[in-house]
Amino acid sequence: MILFHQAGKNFGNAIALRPADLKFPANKTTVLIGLSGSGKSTILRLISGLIWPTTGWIEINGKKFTPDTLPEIRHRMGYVIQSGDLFPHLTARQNIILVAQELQLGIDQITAQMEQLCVLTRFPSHLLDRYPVELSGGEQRRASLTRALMLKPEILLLDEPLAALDPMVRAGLLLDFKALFERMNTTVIMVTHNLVEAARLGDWVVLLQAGRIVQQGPFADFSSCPTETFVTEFFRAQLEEVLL
Amino acid sequence: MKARLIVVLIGTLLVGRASFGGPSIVLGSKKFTESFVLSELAKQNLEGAGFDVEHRQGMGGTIILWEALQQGSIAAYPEYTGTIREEILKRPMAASIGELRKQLAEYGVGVTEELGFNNTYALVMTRARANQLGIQKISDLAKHPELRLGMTHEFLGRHDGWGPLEKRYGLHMSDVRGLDHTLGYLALLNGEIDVKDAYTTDAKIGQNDLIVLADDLKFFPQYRAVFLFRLDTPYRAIQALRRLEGTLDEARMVHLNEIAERTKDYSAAADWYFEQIGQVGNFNGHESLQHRLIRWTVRHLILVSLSMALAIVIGIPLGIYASKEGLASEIILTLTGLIQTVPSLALLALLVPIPFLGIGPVTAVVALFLYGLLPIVRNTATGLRDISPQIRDAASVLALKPRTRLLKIFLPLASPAILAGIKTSTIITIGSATLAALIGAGGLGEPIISGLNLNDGTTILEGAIPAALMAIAAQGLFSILDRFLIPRGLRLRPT
Repeated sequence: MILFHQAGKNFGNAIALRPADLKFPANKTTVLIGLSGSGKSTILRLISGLIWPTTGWIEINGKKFTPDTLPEIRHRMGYVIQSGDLFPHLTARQNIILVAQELQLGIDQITAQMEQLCVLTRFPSHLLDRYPVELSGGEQRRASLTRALMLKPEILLLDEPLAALDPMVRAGLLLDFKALFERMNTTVIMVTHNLVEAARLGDWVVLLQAGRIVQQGPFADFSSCPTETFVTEFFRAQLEEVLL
Repeated sequence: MKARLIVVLIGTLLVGRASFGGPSIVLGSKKFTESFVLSELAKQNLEGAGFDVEHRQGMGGTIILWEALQQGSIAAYPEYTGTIREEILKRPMAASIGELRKQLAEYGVGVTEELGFNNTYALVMTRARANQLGIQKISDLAKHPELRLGMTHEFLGRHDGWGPLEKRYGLHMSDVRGLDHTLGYLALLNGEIDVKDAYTTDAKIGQNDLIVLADDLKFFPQYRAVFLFRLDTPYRAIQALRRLEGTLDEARMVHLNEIAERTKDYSAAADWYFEQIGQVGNFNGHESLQHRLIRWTVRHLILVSLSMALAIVIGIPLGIYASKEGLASEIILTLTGLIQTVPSLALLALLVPIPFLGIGPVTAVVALFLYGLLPIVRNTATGLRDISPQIRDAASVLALKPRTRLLKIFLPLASPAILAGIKTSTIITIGSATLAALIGAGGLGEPIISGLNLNDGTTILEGAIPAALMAIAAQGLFSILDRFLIPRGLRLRPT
């Protein structure tokens, strides 16, 4: 369980996230949705400890999240950053096992874990010795996800994991993600600007606009009882895009 | 880590110094033919007396030689009484050689009796130009302030040089420029300048039928040739040096200079001298071109590799520091940049007076190392700064230890930039290392400087061609190294 207690973030005078109370239930998938610059990635970066709140504080599993508790929590966290987060000078295999190797886990254990995960993420094992440039966009995303899952994280953070992929690949990955999240029993927090992804994957959806939380709840609530006109407009705009 | 670096640095310098050690008597000479010839004569006398002698040719001007003598990196070199008074002791009043000797002894330096000739400064013009303008003496120049003057840098800066001379004669020349001595003669003969400074025993004066302008106000002091030597030099060596006393009059010296310039061979001049005075010089044979080339090239390679090794070992950690935002980074980048703006010759001159450096290979290596730093530091810093934010975030959220992050992620990603920096630096250093010969550190600069002095293109090429080939070879070597050192994933093209 992750809780925001009036946590907010400013960069100088620019407000990235207004102070907010937020709840990310354990073992559920929460989807943060909004336009770019709405503050959704800021929330992800706050939870991963890449940045720290300027106001309020964050609680993870009942403990205050601080730079002191960061190292311990980071190894229980997996993070898939937007495209291009694989280290280009390492093969897919080297990328995936890097951290496990540093923690000096046995090679047999590492290999077993990796093979098991490749089945789950459907990363073809014959591509393991290829370099990132030799992989397609979808394959890269699957490798990234495999890397994030290597240490069996309790929290999985995904920043636009399906962006910039062609529609067929995207549809396939979406189905695989859904199956995976259901099986894994992990707290997933995913950022997207795409309604379809939010509808398919989100147990809980948070809509943001300009650093402010507009509405949160199950996806169905957004069309049945929108809290303000922006919600309706946001939905209509995306639907029109699909129909046109 | 830092301590270890310092130990490595000091170790390299010590080993460097030890491996360059050798002959028991080291002679120096200034950067002009006569000085070369005099030291060559002294060398043969010393060898005849059973000493191992190294002659560091054309080390530079008075200040560099005097420093080298005091520090003990050379045991003796030829000097002129006028220079000792004006430039070294800065007491123009000291009259006799006995008085000079007393004052020099305070520095632990001795002086021989006069070798014989007076080689004073003079101003020279081509006969045609002088006749055309009706100029015979220095005071005649006052009527022609438009004349173009090309003076050696040393003459321009001396107490008995151009500045005081101009004042004494009340001249107001509008076009005075600094020129290398030998190149200056070319410029004079080509009509690019009208007047230049010369030594009265220059072979070029007779060869080219130049007019020596009369010093009608008796401005130039006497420049009688002597040898300066350290008082701790073995007595037998001093005796050997003193055998030159009184054996060289003006005519003989002009002739020796002329032979040296014509044959491009200092030993040939020495042979003629020993024939004249009825002694047999010490024949150690004339070194073959192949042997010389190997000796210069090997020395050049040693200078370049030592300085590059230092520049890499120190430059990469500095570059890593400099890649982080902040004051330290600004200071590192500004300082390394600043070093690069100091002209290489000036940098050498600045380093020579520093204790433990002095004249020789150690100083050359230090100077080349300082020059080589900038491309390596800058490329390392830029290579690291250019790593994308996604990659940085990924390395952070994976909770890699800082050491792993640097060694396994950041440095390999920056390796193409770092290697490019090392390549640039090496190629620049191969070029700059030719200047090492100016401070007696040898290398391919030796034939280049000799060639410049003798105005001999072939000799210049003996150094210039191998240096150019070495630069091309370095370029090729680095292309091969790239394949081994840059990770494969960074060399692949997207499919």
